[in-house]
Amino acid sequence: MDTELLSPMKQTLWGRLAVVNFFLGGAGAGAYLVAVSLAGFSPTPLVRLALILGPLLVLAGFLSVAVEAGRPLRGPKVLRRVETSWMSRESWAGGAFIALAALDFVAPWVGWRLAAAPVALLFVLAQGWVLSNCRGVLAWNVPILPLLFLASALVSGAGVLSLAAPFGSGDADRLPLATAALILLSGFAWVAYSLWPGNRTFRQVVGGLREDSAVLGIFVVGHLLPLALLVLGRRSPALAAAAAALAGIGVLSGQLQAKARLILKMGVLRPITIASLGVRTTAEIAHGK
Amino acid sequence: MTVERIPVYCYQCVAGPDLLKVVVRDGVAVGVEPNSDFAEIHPACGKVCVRAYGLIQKLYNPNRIKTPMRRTNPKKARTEDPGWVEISWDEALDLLTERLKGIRAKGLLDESGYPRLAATFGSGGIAPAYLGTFAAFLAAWGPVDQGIGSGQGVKCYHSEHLYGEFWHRAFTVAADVPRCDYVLSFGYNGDASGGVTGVFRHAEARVRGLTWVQVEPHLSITGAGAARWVPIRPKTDAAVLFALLHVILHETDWRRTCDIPFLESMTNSPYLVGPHGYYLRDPESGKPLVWDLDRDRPVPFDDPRLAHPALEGKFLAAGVEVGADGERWSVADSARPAFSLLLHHLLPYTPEWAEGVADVPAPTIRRMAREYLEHANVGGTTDVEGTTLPHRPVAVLLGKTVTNGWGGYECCWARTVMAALVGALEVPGGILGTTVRLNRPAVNRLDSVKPGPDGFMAQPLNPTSREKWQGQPHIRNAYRTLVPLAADSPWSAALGPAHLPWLFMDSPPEHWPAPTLPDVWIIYRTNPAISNWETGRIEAGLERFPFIAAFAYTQDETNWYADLLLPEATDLESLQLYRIGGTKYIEQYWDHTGFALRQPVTAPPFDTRDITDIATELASRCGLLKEYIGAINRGAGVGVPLRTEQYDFALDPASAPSAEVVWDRVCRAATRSLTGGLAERGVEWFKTHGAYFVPFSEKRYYLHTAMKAQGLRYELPYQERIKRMGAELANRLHERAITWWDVQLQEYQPLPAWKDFPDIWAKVAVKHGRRPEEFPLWLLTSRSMQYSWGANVSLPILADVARHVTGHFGLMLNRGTAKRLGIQDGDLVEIESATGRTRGHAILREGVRPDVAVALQQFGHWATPVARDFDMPSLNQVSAMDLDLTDATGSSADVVKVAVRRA
Amino acid sequence: MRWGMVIDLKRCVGCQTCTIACKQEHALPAGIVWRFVADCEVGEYPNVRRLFLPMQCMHCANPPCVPVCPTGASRQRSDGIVFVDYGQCVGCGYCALACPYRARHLIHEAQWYFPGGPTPSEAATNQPERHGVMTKCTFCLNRVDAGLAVGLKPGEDAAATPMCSVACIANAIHFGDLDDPESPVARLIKDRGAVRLLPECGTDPSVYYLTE
Ligand code: SF4
Ligand code: SF4
Ligand code: SF4
Repeated sequence: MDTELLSPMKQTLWGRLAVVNFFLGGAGAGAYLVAVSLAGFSPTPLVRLALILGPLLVLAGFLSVAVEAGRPLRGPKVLRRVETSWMSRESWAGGAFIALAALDFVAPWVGWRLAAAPVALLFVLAQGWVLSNCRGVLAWNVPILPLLFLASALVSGAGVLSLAAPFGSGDADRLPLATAALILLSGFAWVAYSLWPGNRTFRQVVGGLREDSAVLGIFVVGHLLPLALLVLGRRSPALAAAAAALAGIGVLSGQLQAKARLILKMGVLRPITIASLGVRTTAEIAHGK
Repeated sequence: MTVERIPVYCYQCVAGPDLLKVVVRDGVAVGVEPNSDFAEIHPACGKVCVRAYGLIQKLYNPNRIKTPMRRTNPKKARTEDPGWVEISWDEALDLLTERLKGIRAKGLLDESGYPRLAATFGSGGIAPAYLGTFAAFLAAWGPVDQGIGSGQGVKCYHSEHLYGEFWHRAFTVAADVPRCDYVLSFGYNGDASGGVTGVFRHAEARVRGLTWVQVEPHLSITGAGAARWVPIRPKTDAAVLFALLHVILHETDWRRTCDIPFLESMTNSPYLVGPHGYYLRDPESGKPLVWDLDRDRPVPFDDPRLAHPALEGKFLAAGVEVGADGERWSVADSARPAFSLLLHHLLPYTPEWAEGVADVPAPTIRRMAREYLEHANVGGTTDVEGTTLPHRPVAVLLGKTVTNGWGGYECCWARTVMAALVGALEVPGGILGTTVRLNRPAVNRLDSVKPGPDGFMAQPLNPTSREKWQGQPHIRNAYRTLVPLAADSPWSAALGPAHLPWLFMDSPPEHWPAPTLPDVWIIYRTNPAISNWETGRIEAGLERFPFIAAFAYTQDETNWYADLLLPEATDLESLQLYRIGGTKYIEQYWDHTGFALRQPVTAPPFDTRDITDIATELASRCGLLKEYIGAINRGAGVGVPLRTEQYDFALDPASAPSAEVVWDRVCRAATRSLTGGLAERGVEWFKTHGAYFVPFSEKRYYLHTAMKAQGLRYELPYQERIKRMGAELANRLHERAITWWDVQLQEYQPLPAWKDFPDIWAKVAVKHGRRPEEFPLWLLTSRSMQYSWGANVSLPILADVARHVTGHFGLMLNRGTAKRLGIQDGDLVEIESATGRTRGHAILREGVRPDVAVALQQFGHWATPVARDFDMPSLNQVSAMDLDLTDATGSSADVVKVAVRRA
Repeated sequence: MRWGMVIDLKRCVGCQTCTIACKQEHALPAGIVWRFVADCEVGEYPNVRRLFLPMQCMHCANPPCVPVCPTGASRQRSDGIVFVDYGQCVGCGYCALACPYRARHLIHEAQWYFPGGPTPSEAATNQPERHGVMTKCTFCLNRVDAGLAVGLKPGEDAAATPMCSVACIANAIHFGDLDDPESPVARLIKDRGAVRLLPECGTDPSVYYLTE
């Protein structure tokens, strides 16, 4: 059996600003993806809204994480290793998403919007792959991470749209329903992740998702409560807009907490182990005293 | 860019000196590297340890005392800021000279007969490698009290020093690791304390297959590399050692397993002991008698026809016994060989008995004894440089706290007897002495072997006879008066009961000179307010010293109380030649010997002065130049006389030489003396080459060769001389009605018996009105290689690397114990003893006995920059300086009974 | 040619001489170590083993830190040495999280040991190009390359050998060419059955450990 020589240890390199990037990036790209799946690629208010909010959020995420880097002024250099680095790919995809949205803003054309969708999808998945390629961090180094990030991004996007709905996304009739579905999907994804098989340390770390604070913040506030609000909105249309907005807040807060926990608390460096190390004994043991 | 590599030596710990080069880039010292020029000569390939790499920071440390300072606040207390003001060197030396001249005017001794000038040099045996010619100044001065301690005794291998030199010229004892196969180490932590050479030898030996068994209460650095760890209750090592002897002598056929020829001819085993416990002697010659089995009668031990002396049995023999103060008994009674008494003495010490005392399982003890014998190779020989010598690849090593304080004598005795039984004493593979400090000549252990009484070596003991005993202590620690074994070499003052001056300061014992403080106390690289036991008491004492002149590196806890701070040039700033190689403390065994130079590697960054120049200046100002130069010419402090029959480099006593001139002469004299006059190298040569060596025969590691050559025996296992010495000392003290040393007098036993040593420490509580059960844990210390000798606690780079070694910076506790006490890793805990309290953060470990807590090294700083932020508890803060805890050699041990709880 | 190390845990005593020598060789600022020796404990009282484990960059043949680097600053040489091109690094920290061995260290900014600014030696060895970027053990490629250039043999000639190995007072750190079956490192691996850390990570490290 492998012997643990150095205990797991929290990573300290990526902090809150990185969390902001993963959260805003997911929410921004997710919002666009949800909008176009609900409304298609014509410039409906919902799509317009998503096309403004989405890139802004992604950009804000980028700026935030750039501040955390040691040499922010060299930022553009991160585009240079698309062949191998998911961070380069994430940057390209995120950048392309912003650029396409900007083009559409200046010269609206369905082509931009069509192209923006796969780019946004790639961006969200890339964020997951960024983490799942961190071999030093057990809780991230699992193949489910991109899917988890996709689910999280979509539901966050729905949350953003729900929150913004009262401000002029008139054609968002199906949004509550979609949001509810995405909440279920996200819940399913996070539960699946929390049950993902792994070694002892992994199980321990991921087990953190079952702590009271996590259950309350992520599952109750982030999933159950929004669901309940959406059902309420459906029952009493007068409350629908407010309920949707509140549900959006709940969803976003849940995903923010989930990602923060994933990066900050569960960002634990794997223990250093060695194979085949004998434990020396004191031989004749009679130390009961 | 110019890059120079400047050779110097490091002697920041007694396990040196070692050689290094300082990399100097455009005049700035930027790095340290091994001196590979001597890779073939230095026993560890010219490498240096972690501490040496701190030297660069030591040089440029902005927290240094950068220029002399004078105290302006006359009040001395921890809470009183000294009010330092900068002064020039001229003013500083004036100030000190004025005080010194005052002493000369009043008389060198005070009303109690103690020297008015005192000087304390810290860091054990290190100081001479940095002191320049300061020792020559002291020699020129006259009587100086060099016995006001800074922790020696309680912090050293005290019993080993004194008994070790007595038995086999072993100021410290080492295993002949390269030729050894089996080591039983009782707390010997050579992988942390043995320096580069120790670590190197051990590593080579482990890979070669040496089996190392570590017996100690917490799993030390050395324990980590051992094949087995045997946890033992603190201060019970003697019990296990006695049980090992018991197993060898009573559970094996010792006639087969032991080295009988060695016992018969190289020890006092066959000496007949009479009913009074003294050797039975030939009435005419006074020589001890042995029983000749061939002729069936007693004969003097050196009878040339003696072939088979009896080791056991009872023999009816006539002779005289000579006791204390010449008391004689004519006896015609049954006498027994010393060995037979040994057998009898050890009978009760069974492994089962020891298990109850030491918590070491009896089978473990039996296994250790069995393995020891299996590896002993009795009868085997090996070749050393063409000479056949016995080969006994087994050793028992002892560590600090085992080798000092009560129980130290018993452990050292048992260990040395273990070696003697199988002939593993001073032969290849066995235990060896390293150097001599009490005997002379200091540079050659083997030459210190001279025939003495009864077939043993001559011993430079302090006399205990009515005529010659020094009844009036000549310095405040009274080593000549109280400790015969401390001898009277230049080192003896530091090896006496060095805490007595502090202890007696406010409560002088009966019939003893009134305690006085020196008019001037010069301190150098010493910080007793941190390193002594019961530091609170030291601080209280320090408040009262009238004038302290401190050679100071940074502000520290002791020079906080000083009147004058003198920043002398440190390691990489000053010039000195020092003897290197041969055999030295701990584990320095070279096949070369020579001299190495320490030199300034760059212009000094601050207003510091070379201590040689300071000494010369002081001598001139005090009007002692002639005596001072005379002392240097004789070799005082410089390691080699400047004038012999072979050469003459003597300095002119009329003019004050610069350090450069002094050391140039020393370099020339040293090389001449090394080569029998053939080679001469000046200081310039040394500055480029670093060191000069000549071969040193490995045969000189082994005292055996000298003992054999002179037909001498080891004074083992029976301690007749010790017994007599103790009885005489008792007479002397009782004649003066001194009874406060009576407990110590009990140590003088011919065959030491087990006493409940742990209980001596447990009883401290009772003395202070507390119950022993209140303090269930043993607080111990352990060596931090990174910080040992303390001179680098103010260097943050050391903290940067030391934090990776567990124990820095907190209190190590057994995890189970901590759980029971509700303590979690990192919790702040309070450590309470009957006399003090301190705090620290808990570090939970498995490799600590459940009844033990460990605080590394000695910290607890409150004035030293950087170190004062460590938050590290120190045993010294809670220990009690106490005569009850002082053994006959004048030492105690680093153990304190404590309670630990969440703060 | 593949440079590698064999570290003998039977020799190491955790003294940190290698740690401090490395710090000095590379003038690492306060708080940063490229290698350190961990003080590990295995088992429970009284059956405990204490063990010192030198940790540093493993110069993995299949280094997860290199492909993740978005700028190309993290690279691997043909002789196996993995290094960071400081001028290209943005200091994003990604590689450090991809490394399973905790071997990468971001130097945020100039960091002096004393509050009043750099000491003369710190000032003389300061390397501003390393501020804000990722750093790590370089296998002392400066020494190796300079040594090779003048015909020295890394692992045998001190001047061409990594400083930790040169400084180690227990001779615990052996350096050499793993591809050369006759090299002392290759021999040690073969004769004493060396192991590597975290083989499950598939990194193929170039640092081996001798445990027995
Ligand atoms: S072992 Fe002692 S003398 Fe040798 S380098 Fe280290 S500190 Fe200096
Ligand atoms: S140990 Fe870490 S930093 Fe070094 S090559 Fe391997 S993955 Fe990269
Ligand atoms: S210098 Fe050698 S012995 Fe010391 S910690 Fe480093 S590897 Fe271990």
